[in-house]
Amino acid sequence: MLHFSNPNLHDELDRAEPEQLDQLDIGVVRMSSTFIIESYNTWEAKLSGLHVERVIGRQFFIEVAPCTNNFLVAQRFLDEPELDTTVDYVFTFKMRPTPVKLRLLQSSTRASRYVVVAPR
Amino acid sequence: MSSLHRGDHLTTEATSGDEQEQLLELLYRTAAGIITCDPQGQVHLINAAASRILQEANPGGDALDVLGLLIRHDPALRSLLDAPPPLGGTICQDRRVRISRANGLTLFFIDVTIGKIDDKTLLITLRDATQIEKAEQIAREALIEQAVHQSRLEAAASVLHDIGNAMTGIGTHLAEMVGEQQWPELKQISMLAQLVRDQQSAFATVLGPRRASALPQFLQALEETLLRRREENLQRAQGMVVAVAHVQEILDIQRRYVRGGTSTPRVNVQLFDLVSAVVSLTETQARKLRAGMRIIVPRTLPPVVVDQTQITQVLINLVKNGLEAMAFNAEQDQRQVEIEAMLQGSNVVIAVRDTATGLSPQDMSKLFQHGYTTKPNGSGIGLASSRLIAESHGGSLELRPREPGPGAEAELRLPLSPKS
Repeated sequence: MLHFSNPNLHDELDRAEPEQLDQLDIGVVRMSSTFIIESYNTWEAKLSGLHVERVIGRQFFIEVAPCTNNFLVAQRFLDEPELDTTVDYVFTFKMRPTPVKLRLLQSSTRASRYVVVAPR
Repeated sequence: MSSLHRGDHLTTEATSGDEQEQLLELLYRTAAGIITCDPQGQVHLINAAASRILQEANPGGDALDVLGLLIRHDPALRSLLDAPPPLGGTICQDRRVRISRANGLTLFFIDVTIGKIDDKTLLITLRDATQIEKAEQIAREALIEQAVHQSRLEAAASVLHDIGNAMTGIGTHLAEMVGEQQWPELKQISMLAQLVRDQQSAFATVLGPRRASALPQFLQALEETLLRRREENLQRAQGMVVAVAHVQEILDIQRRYVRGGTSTPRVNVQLFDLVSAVVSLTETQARKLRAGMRIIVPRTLPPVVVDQTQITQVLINLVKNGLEAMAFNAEQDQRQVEIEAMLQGSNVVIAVRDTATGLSPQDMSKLFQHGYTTKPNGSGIGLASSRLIAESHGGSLELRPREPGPGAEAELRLPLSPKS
């Protein structure tokens, strides 16, 4: 089972099918190298209140979650080619503050990068 | 999320679910930070911009306690929040809050407006004011610099006034000296010589024949010496009158500059005459430093239309700079100031060169700034003013290392007069 704190989470997410991601009790946003959303799982859609089809193909940090477009989240993807870190954050989808934990995953050897979300 | 808290005041009864969604989306994405919270600071609603600001202000901290966070960065806010308007209204408006790290390092500035909506709800708007603060800081520094500059000008005006008074006194005394070169002693010696010649035998009886015959020659030599000294004194006094007049002209210009006034009328000037005047006004200083002065100014150069006093002042300034630089760092037998004027296209170029050690790259970038000087007792005003004068004539003033060195070269470039 995929867990938020799995040491090899990036590997496991890369291998996971969309249906598997939809079964998780954590949010998973898979993005391209330019941070275009490739996959947005059910748990994350429920948390944000956004329909999956509305967010696929959109720029995550600018169009979907502008509250993360700062040095704590977006800038870290830009500055750190090898990134696997967890930060406490507050999502504000639909203007409702929601405390969460974010795991930011990026590797120069992998095509996809992830924002993984868990409640706190 | 399809409904809002009662106190949020963001929608109306008639607003449909879709419209509420759109309204929330709009508020969520708006560039200004918007927060609603209870009077204890617990957040109800917060948009993306506000979330970004608060979490940058408090990384990893609790972004849900907005008032606690703001008070931590601006403790005086507490007293305002403790006494909100009873019926609602503005608690603070565009209050500039500096967000800093625990070590005092400023992260950014925000403008905060807090309004009391009702007893349970505060509406907070946040605006990133970092760029505004920077612009205001630059404006404040410019104002301070202007005030400092103004106070320097006022001090300079006061000094100029005092020097002007002193120069007037000196000028008056010099004029008296020039007018009082009759020296009645000369007439008295002449009369005494005539008396000695008339009473030659009586003087011979008293002084003896040799002394009596030498006395008229002695008196004649004395008279000639006095005549020569009177002539020399007259020339010196006249020279000083010219110098004092020039100093007074310079003082007038500086006083006009200090008051923001304009220059004197411009006239056709022959460069040879202008440079000769500069040499005569600086040669005493050159002589003291045992520095040579080499002048290469063809008389055939066309005239330029300039404010003669101002350009003379600029050239004196350049020559003095060269002399003073050499006083600090050139061997006596190598001290020489060279003034060369030449025609270059539609300009005349006057180069003033010295044989000091030259200019460092650091000096080069700052020499024309007001207040910058390489001299122990310099004011740093001369070169900056000189460049302003050159530019006010449509010309330029540049400084560069002399080639071949050592030394520096100042190049004053002036456009030719239209008549030339």
